[in-house]
Amino acid sequence: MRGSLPCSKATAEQRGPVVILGMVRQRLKESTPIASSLAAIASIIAATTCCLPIGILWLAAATAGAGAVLDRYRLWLVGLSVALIAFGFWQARRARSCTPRRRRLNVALLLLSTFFVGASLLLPAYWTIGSHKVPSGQRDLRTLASAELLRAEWNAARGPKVLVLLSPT
Amino acid sequence: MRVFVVWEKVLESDWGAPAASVLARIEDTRATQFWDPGRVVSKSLGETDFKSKVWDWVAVYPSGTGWNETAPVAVYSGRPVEDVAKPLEQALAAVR
Repeated sequence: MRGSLPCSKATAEQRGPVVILGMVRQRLKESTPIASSLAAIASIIAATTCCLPIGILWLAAATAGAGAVLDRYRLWLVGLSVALIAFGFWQARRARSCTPRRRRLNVALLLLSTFFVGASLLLPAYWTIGSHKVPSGQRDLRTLASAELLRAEWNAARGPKVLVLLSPT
Repeated sequence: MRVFVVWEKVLESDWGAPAASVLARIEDTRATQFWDPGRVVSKSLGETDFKSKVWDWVAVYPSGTGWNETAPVAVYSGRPVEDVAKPLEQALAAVR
């Protein structure tokens, strides 16, 4: 069956919505977990508008984005993203019936997907590794082994108080 | 007014304490920042399982509110933080 896989019949112009949906997906991915899941849906819509390699590409990107919502399954989703990209490359290599131009485009898009998935994997390192210096004028960042340290500071503080609980990533 | 910012290990991607680039998001000198890898604050606020994790959350307390054995009761709390700027401002105006 080598060389018999379908190739996209869409023209570059017809791919427009896919690219636009991809850009929307990236924008949304930077905002909230809910937005991330919307982006994943956008990616799936994109996947249905074009040929299979492109669908694989966006599905791979979508699973990486969905990781924000389905954090419990993050490792599995990341693994799925990597596997889908690998499958996309394998499929692009087998799709001999494509024109050279179309194959180059597929590979370029797969590389782009690899970049985005890779970035989503490495961003946590950017957000957590390195210096932990706080802005000037603040006390150094301290680790809470128990709530005691926070309680002591809390009870010593005057005026209204605001408590904010956040995730670094 | 004092602001206590507690960065928690909530997500799988929270590999460690926030880097300087993350801490720089809170630049006000009235803020004190903590790293809470065991989510002791979340647990003291009622976390019992995965679904009850307290995060991406903000609360306002009036002047004189102490924190003893149990966590104090907030006059306002809301989440996610980016969506509650307006009610937060109103709550702050009320306690000032």
